[in-house]
Amino acid sequence: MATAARTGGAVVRAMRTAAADATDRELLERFTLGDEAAFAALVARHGGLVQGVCRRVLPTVQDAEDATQAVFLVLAKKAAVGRWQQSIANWLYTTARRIAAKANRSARRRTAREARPAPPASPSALDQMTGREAFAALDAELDRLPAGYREPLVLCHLQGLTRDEAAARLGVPTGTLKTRLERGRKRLADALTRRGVVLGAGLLAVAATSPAGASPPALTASVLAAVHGSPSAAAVALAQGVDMTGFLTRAKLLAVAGLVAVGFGLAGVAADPPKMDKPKADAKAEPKTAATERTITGTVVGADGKPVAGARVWLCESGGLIAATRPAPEHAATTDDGGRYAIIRKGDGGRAWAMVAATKDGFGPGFDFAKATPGDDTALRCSLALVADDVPIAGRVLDLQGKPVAGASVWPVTLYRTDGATLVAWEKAARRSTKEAAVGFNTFFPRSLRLVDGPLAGVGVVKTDKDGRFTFAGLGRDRLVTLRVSAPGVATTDFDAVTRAMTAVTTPADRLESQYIPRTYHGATFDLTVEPSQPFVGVVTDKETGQPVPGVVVRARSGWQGGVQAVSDASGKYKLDGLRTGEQELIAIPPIDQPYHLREFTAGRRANELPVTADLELYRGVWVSGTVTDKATGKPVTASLSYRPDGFNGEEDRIPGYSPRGLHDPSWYVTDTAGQFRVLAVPGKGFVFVRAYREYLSADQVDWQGELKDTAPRPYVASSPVEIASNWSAIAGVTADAGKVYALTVDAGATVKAKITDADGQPLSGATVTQRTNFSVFEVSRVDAADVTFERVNPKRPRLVLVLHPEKHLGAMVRADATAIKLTATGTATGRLLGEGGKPLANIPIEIRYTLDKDIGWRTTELYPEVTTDAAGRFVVPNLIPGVRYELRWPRVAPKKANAYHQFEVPGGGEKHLGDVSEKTDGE
Amino acid sequence: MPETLWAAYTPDDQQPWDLKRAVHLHRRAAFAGTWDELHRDLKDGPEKAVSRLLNGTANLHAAKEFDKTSTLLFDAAVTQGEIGRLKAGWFYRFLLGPHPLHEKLTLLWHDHFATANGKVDDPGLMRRQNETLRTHAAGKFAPLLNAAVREPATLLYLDAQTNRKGHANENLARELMELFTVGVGHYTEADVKEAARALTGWSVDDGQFVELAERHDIGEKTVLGAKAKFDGAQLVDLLLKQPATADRLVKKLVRQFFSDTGVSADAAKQLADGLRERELDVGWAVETILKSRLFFADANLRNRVLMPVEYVVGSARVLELFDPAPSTLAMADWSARMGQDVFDPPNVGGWPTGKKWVHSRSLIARANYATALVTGPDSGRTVAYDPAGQAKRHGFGATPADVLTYHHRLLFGTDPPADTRNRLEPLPLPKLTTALLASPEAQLG
Repeated sequence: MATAARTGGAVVRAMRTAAADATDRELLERFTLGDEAAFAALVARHGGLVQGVCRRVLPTVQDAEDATQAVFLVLAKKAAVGRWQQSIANWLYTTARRIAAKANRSARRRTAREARPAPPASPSALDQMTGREAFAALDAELDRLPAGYREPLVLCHLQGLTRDEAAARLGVPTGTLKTRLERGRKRLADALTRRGVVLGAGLLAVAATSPAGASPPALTASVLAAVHGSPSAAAVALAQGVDMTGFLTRAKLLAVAGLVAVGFGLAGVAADPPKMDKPKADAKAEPKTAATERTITGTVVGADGKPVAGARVWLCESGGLIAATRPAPEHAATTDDGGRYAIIRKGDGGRAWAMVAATKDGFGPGFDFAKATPGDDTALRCSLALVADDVPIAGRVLDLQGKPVAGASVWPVTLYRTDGATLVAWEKAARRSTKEAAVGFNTFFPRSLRLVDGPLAGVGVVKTDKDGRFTFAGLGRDRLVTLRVSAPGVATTDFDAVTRAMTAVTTPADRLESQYIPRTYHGATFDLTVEPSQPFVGVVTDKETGQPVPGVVVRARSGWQGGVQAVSDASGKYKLDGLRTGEQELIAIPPIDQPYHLREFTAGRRANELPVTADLELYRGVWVSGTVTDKATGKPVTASLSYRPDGFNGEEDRIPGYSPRGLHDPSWYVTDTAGQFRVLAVPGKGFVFVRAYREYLSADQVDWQGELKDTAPRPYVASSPVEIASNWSAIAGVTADAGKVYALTVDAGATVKAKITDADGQPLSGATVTQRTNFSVFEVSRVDAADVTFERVNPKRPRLVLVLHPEKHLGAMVRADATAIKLTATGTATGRLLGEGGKPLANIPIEIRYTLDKDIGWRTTELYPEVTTDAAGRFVVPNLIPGVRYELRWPRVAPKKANAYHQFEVPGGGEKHLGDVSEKTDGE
Repeated sequence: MPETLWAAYTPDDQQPWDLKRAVHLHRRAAFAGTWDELHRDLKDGPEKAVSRLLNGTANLHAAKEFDKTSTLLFDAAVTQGEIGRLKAGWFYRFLLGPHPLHEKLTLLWHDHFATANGKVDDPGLMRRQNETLRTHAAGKFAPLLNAAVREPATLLYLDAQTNRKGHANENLARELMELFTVGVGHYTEADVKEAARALTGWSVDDGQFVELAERHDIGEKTVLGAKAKFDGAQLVDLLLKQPATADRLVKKLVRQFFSDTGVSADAAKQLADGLRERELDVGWAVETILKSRLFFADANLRNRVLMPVEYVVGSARVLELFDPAPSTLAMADWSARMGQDVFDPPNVGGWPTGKKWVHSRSLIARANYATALVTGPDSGRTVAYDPAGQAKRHGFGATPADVLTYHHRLLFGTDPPADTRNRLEPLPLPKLTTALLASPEAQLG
């Protein structure tokens, strides 16, 4: 689960080689013809240049990144219409200057308005249904952790403190903090896994409020995420772990949906707990563990704080509780005279969690996540407060001819809770800036209740009257609600309203931040216009036999259009209504246990409301079977799996509309209790990807399997589309029609205990250790004692670790399987930076970057803070470890482009004179 | 100077105030008259009829709460960033607005200050420009020109923001002279270059018009013989004062109200002189035209090809398809298929006129549209048009002969000639209606 930096670097390099000979213009042409890897190559080629320009103009790294994204967005837009030279560097340079200058004016205006600087862009709100659910899940689970485990995670991962700083903040020894961090992370990972969200460096990194300075691969990734409208190979491969913020355009929702699908194992419409589709053959599907009884207790109070009797208590989304995992809210209890309630359920042995809501006539619902009692997994507690419900939503629905739409259904999708004062603050932010409202969304609205699956005490579906009017009560005052409108002949539409008298807010468009599209929020009373829809009808059949195929889901391929979908009936017929008019891309998704491939297709006509007939023939695939066991214990492992054809296979091109499962839809194969699986494949070569639900070494650290047995792992997989190896626990090459059964393993790796000593062999505590983990590419942690433990070490390919004691100037680079780590004296590099014409560069900041692995790429971490040249251009860089490749990096002075760099190593302790260092450029 | 050639129309034996002329008036000054509107105007006489159109009180079928709904539709289109919905929103105005003459003039200026969203790519700015054109559509040309040429959409379309000192982009200057004011033949290339210098610094920032002093060339320029340190505003003033500007405006208005055949050179000159004396008051010119004998002369009847917008909206009007109205999204699309995609003219010159509208592809589109309107579903209506029912409502019988007479009078103001009867009466009523609507004659208005 690496960040984009590591995997992005490798992919970029691969693409760079392929594209090395193409001119910029050729790459742009390829891009306009649909080759998104070509655009990625351009970004990789010029990203440094653009970022350099922006960084020299703009006050913060974040502003520079945003401006860089904007430049490439413009390039993408103009790719087809501009007249391009062989090299676009000049155009990029000029455009970057222009955009950065504009951004600078905005930034200055902004900081002039507010005494404090704008908060760093915290990537919070992704798309409404995908990213928000992922972050809601993260928030929810973090919140449910006992405080002792939660705080270290928040301090270190979300606020970027070092272990030492966090320990000091909490008043505990650093060793204790590290233990709590590990344990908390494990609990969090388990909890999120049950919700179908995979915890990786990506999710936490994205949630962090102060991301580390970006280096080109991460920059490339963030740019591509902003630019690409579809989760193509390039976007998917490079976009994991990227800063994604705000309201993305409809087209860019694709990128998000794709990203979340790959990176988080969660995508598309439903954010239900993962649908564990089991192969039909095995009826005994549930793991046989002893069911324990669990209780959820609490009290419900009114707005005045007094207990409320007779309130209905509902179990909404929940997991690990048998008979409470239905999607619709379940009325599970009623409060007694003291406002108390108790819900008892059997658990399935898995981790229990629940979102509980309380309702009573005349009040707005209270809702919150239940918290576990420390030390007792069986008892959850949840106390709720009801709120005043005196502001109903009253709306009117009109069509584009201005006529009321009678008989339309309106129902709530999501209800967001906050307090009155925060709502006022949010309104102000929304009127000021789209980006501000987007980026801070989860802060303004920290709790949300999913209502789309079923009614909550009368808060259900409402119909418009003959004047197109409807009223919604029971939501509570000062709330934000997303409502959905659906009617025959009308495109299903979602809109947002607040239960408060407010004139509609449309967040102002910002040309510079065009990846955020303006959103409109209505007050409690409003008129809404809806577009006509275009129905799609047809019959789904088996191409070979001509027989109908029932149970096939037909919907828009990407983005998310109000969950609009159809399912083919027993005679294979389907009718899909509620999509907008116009030609669009649709997809047919057969049931996972059926031997049919998914099928993408294009249908629809411009401004047309007549039904469009699209009959679909589904093609049969080939099953590939196998097992997944734990390498060490041999026991079957619960895992989810995906299949992709080999990038050079070509068979999938012979299957019209072929789409690999899990790319545009949230479904994946699962092992049964015996660890067995089968996936649907195309003839010939392909890959099976395995993701296990506990911590195993990621597949970029262990040998690949199947037909690729004992192949050294690589950061990315040449499948179609490309996959990032670190997303998976195991990767196997398979041949579909060979009839083989693939016995695959997941590897927890070894645990190595090592002792750190100084040059004299004395135990040395207080060193920092930098290594790649499953969560982070370059994780830096301080070791309290002289003992250090390395987990998940692959003995066959142990990773490299840097150990450095900055105060004592001792360090070493070792392999993670080393049990004795002897530190030796570090070196110091000195030199002089020269610019153009041999002029010394004074007061220039130099980044010190290093690499642990040629595939990871270069990184700056807190291990080596920035160094500034003095008035004579001289610099001193201490604490350099022999054998490590370092790189100095500094911005070139205008008007030249890119950064300048200089790579070097120190042979041992003592001073290394680098002499006069002048420029080589990178990223050109 | 008495504009004798533009003397007012008073009905007489040679030019009676008849249904034919009422139809003509509504086709030119609005989108088409419904049966009741035509007969009301027939009864009340031409002066009242023209007045109503000038005042925006002619439409008997305007939507209730029109302004509120129109704003809602435009707002939604802009916040969604959907140009298709903005186009649909304008068709809402065309079909259901109380002031069709005003909307037609707005469309005329949209053609004059041609700007395409395909390049501007910003429905918000296109909407802004549209409202500016509407505000000044029937006033004096000076405020209209000054506002239109500073609209961000216009400037972006004509690359004004890249025009700066020492680095000229002549697009805005050229179109300002060639298209917006004096016209071809009344300026030289040198004038364009100098005019471009005067316009340096005009730009768009954050969706607003700005004048950037640091980009402006403050030196002396020579434009059309005048020497001064012209800036943009002064250049516009200079162009407004050129006699050729008034002539060009007359040409534009004549093409709208008289078709390509135009009026005599003397008449054009008189009208232009009148404009020049009245600070280029377009409203005055329109009123003069609509009230004139020349306008109602036989020579000016049924000699103008309907633009796609006129054909699309007019056909829906004559069939009284107001409730439910055809899908405005579909109407905008049909018009585009016929060659007139509002908010997306093909180039700076706007759209063609007259005979250029009729080529095989657009005729097929017109015929298909007529069918769609009559049958229902392909124009977004779930109800078919009932030709007999409609004829009966207006006092006719339900036979093919009656139905044909009703619709023929509605469309042309005359009774169907024998060959038309022979051709159409045998058809089932819906086909009869479609055939009439799609006939070559019905492409003229």
